[in-house]
Amino acid sequence: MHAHAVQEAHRPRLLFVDDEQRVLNSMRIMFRRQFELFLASHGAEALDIVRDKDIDVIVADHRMPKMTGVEVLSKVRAMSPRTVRILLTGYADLDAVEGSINESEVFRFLTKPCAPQQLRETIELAAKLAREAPAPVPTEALLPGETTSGDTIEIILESDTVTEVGGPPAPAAAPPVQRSTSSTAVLEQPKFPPQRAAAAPAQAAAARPKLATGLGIVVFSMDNEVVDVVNKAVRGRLPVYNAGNIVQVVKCLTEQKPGVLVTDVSEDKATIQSMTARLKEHLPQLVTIAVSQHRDVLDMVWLINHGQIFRFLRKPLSAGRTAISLQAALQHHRQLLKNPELAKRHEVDAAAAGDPGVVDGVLSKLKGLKRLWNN
Amino acid sequence: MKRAVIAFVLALAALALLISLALESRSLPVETHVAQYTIAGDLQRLDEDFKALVDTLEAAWMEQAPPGEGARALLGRVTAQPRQLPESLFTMQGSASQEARLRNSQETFLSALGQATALAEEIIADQTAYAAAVSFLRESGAAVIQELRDSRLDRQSADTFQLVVGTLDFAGKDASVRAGALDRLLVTLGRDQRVDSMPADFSVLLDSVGTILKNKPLIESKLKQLDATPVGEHAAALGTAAQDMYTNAVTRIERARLMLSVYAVVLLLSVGFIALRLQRTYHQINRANAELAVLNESLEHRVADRTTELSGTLADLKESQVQLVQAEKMSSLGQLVAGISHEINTPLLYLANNAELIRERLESLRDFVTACVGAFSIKADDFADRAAYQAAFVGALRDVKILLRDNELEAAIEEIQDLTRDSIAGLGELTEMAQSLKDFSRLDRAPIASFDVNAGIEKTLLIAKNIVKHKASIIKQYGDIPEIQCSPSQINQVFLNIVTNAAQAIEGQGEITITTKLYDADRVAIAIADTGCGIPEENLSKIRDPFFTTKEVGTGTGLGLSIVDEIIRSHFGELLIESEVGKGSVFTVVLPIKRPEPAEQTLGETLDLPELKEAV
Repeated sequence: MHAHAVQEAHRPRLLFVDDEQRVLNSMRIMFRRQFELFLASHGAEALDIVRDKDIDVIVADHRMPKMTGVEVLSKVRAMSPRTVRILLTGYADLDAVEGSINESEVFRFLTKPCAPQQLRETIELAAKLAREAPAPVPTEALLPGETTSGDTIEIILESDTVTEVGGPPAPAAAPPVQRSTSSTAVLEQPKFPPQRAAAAPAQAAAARPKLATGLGIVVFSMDNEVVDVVNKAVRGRLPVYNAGNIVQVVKCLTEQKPGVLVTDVSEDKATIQSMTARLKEHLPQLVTIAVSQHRDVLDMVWLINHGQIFRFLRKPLSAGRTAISLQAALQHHRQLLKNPELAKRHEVDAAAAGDPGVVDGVLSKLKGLKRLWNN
Repeated sequence: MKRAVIAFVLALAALALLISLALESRSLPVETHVAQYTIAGDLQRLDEDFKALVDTLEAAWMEQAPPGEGARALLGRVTAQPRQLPESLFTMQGSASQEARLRNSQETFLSALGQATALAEEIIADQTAYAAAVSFLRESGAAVIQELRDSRLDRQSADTFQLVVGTLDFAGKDASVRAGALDRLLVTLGRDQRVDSMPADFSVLLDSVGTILKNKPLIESKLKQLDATPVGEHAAALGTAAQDMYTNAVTRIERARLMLSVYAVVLLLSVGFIALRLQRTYHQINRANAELAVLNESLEHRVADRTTELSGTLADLKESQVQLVQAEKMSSLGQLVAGISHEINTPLLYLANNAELIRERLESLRDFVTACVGAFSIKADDFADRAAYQAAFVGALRDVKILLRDNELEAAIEEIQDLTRDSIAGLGELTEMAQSLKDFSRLDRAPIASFDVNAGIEKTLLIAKNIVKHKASIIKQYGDIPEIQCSPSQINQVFLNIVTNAAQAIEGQGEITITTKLYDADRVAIAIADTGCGIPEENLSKIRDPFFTTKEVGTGTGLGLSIVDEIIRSHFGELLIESEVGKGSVFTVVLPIKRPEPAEQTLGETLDLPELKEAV
């Protein structure tokens, strides 16, 4: 690509935040031709730039004096939702990774040293998405520590506000999905007892009038506690499906079209991580909340980059944090449904080769599933 | 004890009762039975003999004959009867009153019998005399009278005659005869007796008359008396009394036997019951014993198991302790590595980037150089004419100029300069880091060495830079202090730990002040003060304890400060901690300048620093 071919006004705006001047130098030299480049040596400076300029992509180091990268990015998320956020850090500590998911909702989590090619490709993709995909409306972030909010979700179905608050959708964006206004009333009352089977009983399905697609939650966990906490948070206002294996997950996704997947990545890590990534690849509107017993930096980073997980919750699940996360996930999912272009923002790195075969086999079903979803 | 006494007394009582019942039920001796059987016959026979005697005497009296031998034989038999009852009859089990009654009856009987036999003897004697007198009168009376007549004693003979006849009539039970007239005659004739001419038998005759007159009423009354003597009745009473006594005794024996039987049954039952109880108890004891044995055995097993388990646990604990100490080392190592890896990865990032960029820039420079070389290597000789040569040269120069547009090449050169400068600086940083790691660990140095404390702190701060730099600014107040003898790697670890803690105690931005000075003539003090959250007073005493931690579970093992304390104490130093909640803490390490006779072998072995060499 030749720098002169791109008009200055059309060049994507890229902001680097790093307290190491030499990194900034290197980045400047690397990207100055393609991007309108902004450099900041600390968080406050970066936020000033974000406030003034319509930044497309921000790349931040995590370990910086006064304000960490996660903090900077989570503020950017609120200030400028359309800015695609990337964390680039020399040492991935657990808090950084968890914060980058739950607070900053980063697009990618990159670790130093990062191959120049990968860095370049990632930033280019981010810039492209920032330009092409509409801006999301920020949902409530999951801050560290106990939450003071209630333990149950409050379903807000006034979906019309979604597009108004957010940035203007791209012209190419599909028209918002028609939604039944009556679903609000329907969902006022707890109507859906916890469901253990992947597939809801036939009469229950029949008795659920005009339930919009994607308003269920599928829980993929062998841990009853996870299911219980989710059920408690939902309080019967939405159907909760419990899947015990991948086949059930896919069956449930096909038949019930839930919008949120709560997946337990504690066990059979490889398969479930792979499944999570592949699901996101095929069903970008599906919002994933990962729960796990362990906090493994590498696994979490993988889930960010390949699975675009929306939240990461540690077991044992806190009712409050689970409720907030579910609420945000449902809101986010509705945005994605309304505006499928938005889902581009969650484009994932293609799943690594060597997926467990079972995932491949099962997920082949998903190929045609995408189309079903908006109907 | 009390129960045993009661049981003993009960057993004695039972035995006493058994003995008394056995005595009670003892059979009567055979003599008693024999006596009982013979006494009735004896008494009856006696009674019969006695009655026959009386009859004989009365018959003899009626015939005025002497009683004769039959009477004497009967009397002999009566008197020959045993006088006493066998003593065994009295000693039969019986009441004293019965015995007294029996003895009484015997007394009565014996006295009656005695009287009767005495009377009978008298009667026999009297009757004999009487019969002799009568027979004299009958046989000799006429002769006497004849003699009197012969002697002419008429009156006497008449009187005598009258007397003899009258007497015989009297004797013949003629009731009309008056004994009084005969008595007068007898008196009259008695006076005549003195007459010399009286026959010789005359006085015998008078005596006989006298005997008859006198004995007849006597015998009659005696016979009546004898007949009235209640020998039979007394004998019968005696027999009855003996019989009663015997019956009573037998009855009592029978009853005693019955009681004994019942008692024996009761005793047997009791014994059986006790035996049953004993057997049950025995069974229980047996079972308990068996259970005990089993328990004992299983207990042994369990003790053995438990011992194995415990020794296993102990081994595990020791293992865990080692692992925990190791974990703490690894944990501080982890923090260190976190910082260091960031410190290393950042230069690495831009070094790799820079190298790539330099390569890219060099490519465009190479294109330019190639173009230049191409342009300048165009030689006039190669062209037919100058115009062609010029055209080629201008063309080549145009290519070069195209490459020179937008000042890209100058920019590229500038960038290459920048990038190489940064890269060299980055390499310098990495080198410095590697050097400080080496200095910090001192693995290539002697374990005990002279150590410049201020320099050590500098190295430590370099290592801890990434941990500290975002949290606090460092204020250094180094004093002029001599080098100390110590294990530099351990003391560096102490500094690192305290500095890291200080940084972690700070929320937001703060200050860490490091002061070194002489503490006294022999010791130096290193004070590390932070403006962090401080330590609550209740934790101050526990803060050196192993495993005490206020950090979130999983982030600290709580061994850090205990290891620090241990290192300092192994250096004969002191760790002083002052803290105020909300204001901050001061950790002061006091170390001797000259190491007292060191226990070198423990140093550097148990508390060695994590091997940074390997980690890095």
